Amino acid sequence: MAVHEATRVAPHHEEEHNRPAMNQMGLWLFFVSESFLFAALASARFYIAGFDRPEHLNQALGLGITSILLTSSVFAYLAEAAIVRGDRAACKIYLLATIFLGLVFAGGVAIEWSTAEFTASEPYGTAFFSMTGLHASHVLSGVGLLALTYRLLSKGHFSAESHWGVEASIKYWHFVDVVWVFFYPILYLFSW
Amino acid sequence: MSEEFLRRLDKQACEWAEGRHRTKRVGLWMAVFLAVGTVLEYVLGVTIDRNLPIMLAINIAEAAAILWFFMHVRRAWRSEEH
Repeated sequence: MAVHEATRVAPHHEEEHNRPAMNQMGLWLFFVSESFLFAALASARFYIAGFDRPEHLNQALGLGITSILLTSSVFAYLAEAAIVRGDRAACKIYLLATIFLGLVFAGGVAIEWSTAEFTASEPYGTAFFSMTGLHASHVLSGVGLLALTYRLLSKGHFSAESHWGVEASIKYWHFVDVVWVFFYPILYLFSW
Repeated sequence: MSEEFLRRLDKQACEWAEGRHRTKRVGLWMAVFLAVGTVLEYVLGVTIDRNLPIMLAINIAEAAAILWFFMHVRRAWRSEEH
């Protein structure tokens, strides 16, 4: 009976021990699957519009929002580093900065959409609005995740020893940033 | 309070400050690297035709840096407790 009990309990402990690795692997597999989606849109851009891009593309706005998103990634890194050493207050401040910059980025994309001199019925326009739209939806969901993380931090959740929620939401934010690292030049800068 | 306890407290404070300093150093260097990369991309993108190879190289370098330093991609194969 005692042996049977020990056998029944042991797998549960093993699962708990492996949970951090399972969490990490699950998150990275999610990133890989999302990458295929973004890669498909990026390749479609070249398939339907080649390397063409409008003459009067708002390059300054593109550079501006890219700088904002990359800066937000730096703040997100600092937020994670803060919770790793147990500094909940600093983590909250950096998370707020990340959220703010993320919203500014989304606002910049909205301005780009409203002032674009091309339409969605044109090949480049189709690619542009699809790519920036899908990316912006990920940015907004990332902002939502970070806001939830901030709220949980305010309620006393997470610590230096246990902060997977913070790490996962920030990793997601960095993933969204990596996607833009490729999307920005694909839409604004590449030529051949 | 014993001297041993105070010494341990001081050591922990130093380690905490050192970790914070190292983190800010990494954050600062990454910010500089990403800023330089972005500006370089922009300048090459608006001035040079047939810029695909060099632009791709810059993009891959930036993405790799974010994956390594910010996303800690090497942890994907480790089972760290948190």
